[in-house]
Amino acid sequence: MNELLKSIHWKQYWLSFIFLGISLALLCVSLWLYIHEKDKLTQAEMATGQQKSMNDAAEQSVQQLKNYYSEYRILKNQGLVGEPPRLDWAEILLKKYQDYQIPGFYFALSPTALSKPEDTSFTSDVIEIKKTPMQISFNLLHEGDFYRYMQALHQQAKGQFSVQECVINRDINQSIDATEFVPGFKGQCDILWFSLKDITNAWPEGVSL
Amino acid sequence: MNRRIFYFAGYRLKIFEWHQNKLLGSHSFEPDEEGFANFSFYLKNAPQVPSQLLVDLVEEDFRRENIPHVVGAAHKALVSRLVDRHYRDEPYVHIAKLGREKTGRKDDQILLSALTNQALLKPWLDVLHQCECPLAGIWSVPLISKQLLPLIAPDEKNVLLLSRLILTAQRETYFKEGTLLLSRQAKFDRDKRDDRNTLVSKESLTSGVQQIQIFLTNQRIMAFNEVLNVYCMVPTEFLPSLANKQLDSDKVKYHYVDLNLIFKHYKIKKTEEYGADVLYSFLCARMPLLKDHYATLKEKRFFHRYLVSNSIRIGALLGSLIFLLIAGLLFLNVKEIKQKRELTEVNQQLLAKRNAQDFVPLEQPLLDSPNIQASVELAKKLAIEANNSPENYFAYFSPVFSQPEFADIHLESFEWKKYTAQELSQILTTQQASVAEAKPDGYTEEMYVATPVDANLQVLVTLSGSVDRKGRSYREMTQLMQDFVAQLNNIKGTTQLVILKMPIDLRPGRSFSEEQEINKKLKSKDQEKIENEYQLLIGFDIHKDANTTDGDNSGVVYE
Repeated sequence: MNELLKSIHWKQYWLSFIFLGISLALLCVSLWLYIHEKDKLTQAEMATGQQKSMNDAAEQSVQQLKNYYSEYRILKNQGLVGEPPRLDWAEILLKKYQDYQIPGFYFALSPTALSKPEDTSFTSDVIEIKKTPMQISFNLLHEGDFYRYMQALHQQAKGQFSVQECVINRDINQSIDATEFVPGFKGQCDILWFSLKDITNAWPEGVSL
Repeated sequence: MNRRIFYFAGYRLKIFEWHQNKLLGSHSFEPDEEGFANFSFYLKNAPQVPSQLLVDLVEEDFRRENIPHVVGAAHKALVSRLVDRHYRDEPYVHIAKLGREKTGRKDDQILLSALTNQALLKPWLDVLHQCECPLAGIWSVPLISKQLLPLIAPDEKNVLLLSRLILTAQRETYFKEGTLLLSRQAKFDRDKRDDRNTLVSKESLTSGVQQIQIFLTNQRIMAFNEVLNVYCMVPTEFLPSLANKQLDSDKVKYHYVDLNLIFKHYKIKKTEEYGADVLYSFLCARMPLLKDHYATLKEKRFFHRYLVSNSIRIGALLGSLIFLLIAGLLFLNVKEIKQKRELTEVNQQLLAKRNAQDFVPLEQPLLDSPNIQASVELAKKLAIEANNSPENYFAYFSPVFSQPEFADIHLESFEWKKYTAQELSQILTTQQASVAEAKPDGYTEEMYVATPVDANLQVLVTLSGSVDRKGRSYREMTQLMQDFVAQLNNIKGTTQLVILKMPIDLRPGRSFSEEQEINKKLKSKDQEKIENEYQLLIGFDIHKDANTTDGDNSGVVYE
């Protein structure tokens, strides 16, 4: 076999080998171009996919805003979202006291602070909840006055409050058959006013949804 | 593919150039200096094509031999021994298997043949070697003449084929049942060698035939009563003269085959000569190149080189074409991919543009959208908690206290407090600890068994007051309190009720005492009231709807 290969005049194939070499070079070039172009296509597809994902996420966020922003604005108008409306609370307490002609009334509004987990059953990792403790003491002619007063506060006061503790005692110095102008009950309640941080404060001006 | 056949019958050498069925040309070279020079010139200047040497020599010897039927190395050894015995120093030997005997131990029948005079061939082979002619092999006229049998004598048992390939001799080949058994080249007398009519002379036809017939019968190759069919291949122009000759005997029967018809059968085109040598060269050109009869590796070395060279050339060409084809396909693919990429980029740009137009101005609101949703949902939960206010519990307890049978049970203190689940759990668990010791007589098992503390318990109501006894017996008082507790326990949302204190408390864990009639008048009103006080702890789950009063009793614990 070796002898056979040695006897071959390799020089006569130079044209064939050149042709083979050129075609091989062309193949390499085309292969490189193919891989290169394929990479670029993959990158372009990834970029498009990412852009599409971003747009889809934005669409979802828009839909989320459409679903919840109107309610959020209502909450804002109601005073639950935003800075604690302490003046409004003081005013409504006084007004209702006067409306229901409660014989004795005292209230104390404490400083506002961040809410702790034990203050409410519901906490949020992302939404800041502020609490404003308030204590009210009162004398009542009838236990129904307590019901009406508290209901009015729930319905008309700005924001949201939660009663933490309440004690109502019959005044043992008064007989059960006391006249209507003599208070028969004494009560004391601890309540917490809640306020949620207004996220929209950080929004740039002129944003319209 | 073109084939070049060198036809050599012992003297001059002829070349036939074949392209499939077409004879492109033929040349003849004499065995002298000029002839060899011309032959060399021809080989050097004619294009190189695969060449075959076809020999029709007097010195071609045939021998039939029987050997035991063995295979593999044993068979090779037997054959080798035979070759050594008959043709020890002959390089051009051919072995053909004829078959097996039908009787006895059924030996293998083989036909040995050899070219016994190398000196005749050598000058021509030397020229071929000098010119590096790609000689594929050496073929034998008798051996390839078997191809003609199916055409001219398909069903005959004993056939003798006569053909005159050269002027000086005629070839006589005997076939028995299609198998070549012997062949010889019969030389004509010197005075008849240049006479073409000799071919059809009675003497030349019959003398050789008679010798062979006698030989075959003597050798018992043919039976005495068998007929030998002699097929003479003659040009068309001699056929009329042969028709008048009555040569047939009872042992020998003559048939005349028109060479022209055979040429037509093989569709051989454009031939000026219609000699038997042309026909045999054509048959030789049809043979596969890689399986010849006599050539050694030495004679075929340039053919092998030719094959390798061609393989290299064709391989390089094919490789180049394949590379080019793949490269072309890849280029086309690249174009498609490029278009696709450009389209994708346009899509991406459109999406980016839309993002910039529609969403970038709203970036912060969009980022905050989950928080907006969380705020709204949190507000709803806070509202639920806010609605759980003590004034709402009046509506639960009023229907119980306003029942006529409980008119003597007075509520004097209402304490309402929210606890975290953990705090309330601790309080109620502490209160439950002495329950087993405090099980009162007259209370059902269901009321006694405490339910596990619910993690959602968050409101604890403490009801305190007194009962106006109004002369009720111990049993009546116990029953009144039992009914009262059961009613309270029916309030929806109640998860647990613990009795801390009750009038006429006869539970095992409690002390009970009461002064008798004689001292009763001495009791103050306050003292009596203290004795008839009750205190109840009621746990509520603020997440349950407490506005209905049916069902969901949990349990009562007595302290």
